[in-house]
Amino acid sequence: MSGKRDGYDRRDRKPRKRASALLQGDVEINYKNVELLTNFITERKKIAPRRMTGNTASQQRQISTEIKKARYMALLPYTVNHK
Amino acid sequence: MINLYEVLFIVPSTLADDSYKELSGKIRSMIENEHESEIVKFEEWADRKLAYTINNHKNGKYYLLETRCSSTCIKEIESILSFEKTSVLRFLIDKITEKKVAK
Repeated sequence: MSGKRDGYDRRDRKPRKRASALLQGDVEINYKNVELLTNFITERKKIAPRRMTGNTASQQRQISTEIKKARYMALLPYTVNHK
Repeated sequence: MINLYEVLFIVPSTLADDSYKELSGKIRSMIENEHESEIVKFEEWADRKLAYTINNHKNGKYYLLETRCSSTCIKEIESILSFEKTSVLRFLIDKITEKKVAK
């Protein structure tokens, strides 16, 4: 399954990261920690999927609620198209 | 039942100091005098650009309040903040655990 087909391979686009290095050790996922959360949003300011960040399911749940809180408090944008 | 609460609220940067003082004084006296509860922390963040405009405000001052108080007290804080539509752009009340404060 490892051969490239027609020159296109999903793995060519984005290297797969396994565990998120950002959350190693004693890191608290909190909406006030904007710098940390910006690592988990995409260019279009969407919440990045786990396959991009390598978060565990429970980390991802926490991150998504904290990002939503940060968005409400205008610490993070909802979209790139804010007026 | 006494819980530890964290309140983050945004005040427009253009707001006069007096009206902010009035608001913070109101909250302070409500917690300390009426409910005899403790304010753990009341800090001001640096002036911040909002991620998006709220009521045509581009910048805001964030205030973080941590208090150990009862649920009736926090409800009153909530009603104060939600009533001040011109001076409070957004607020968020969170119940936090003691562990988070120690950090």
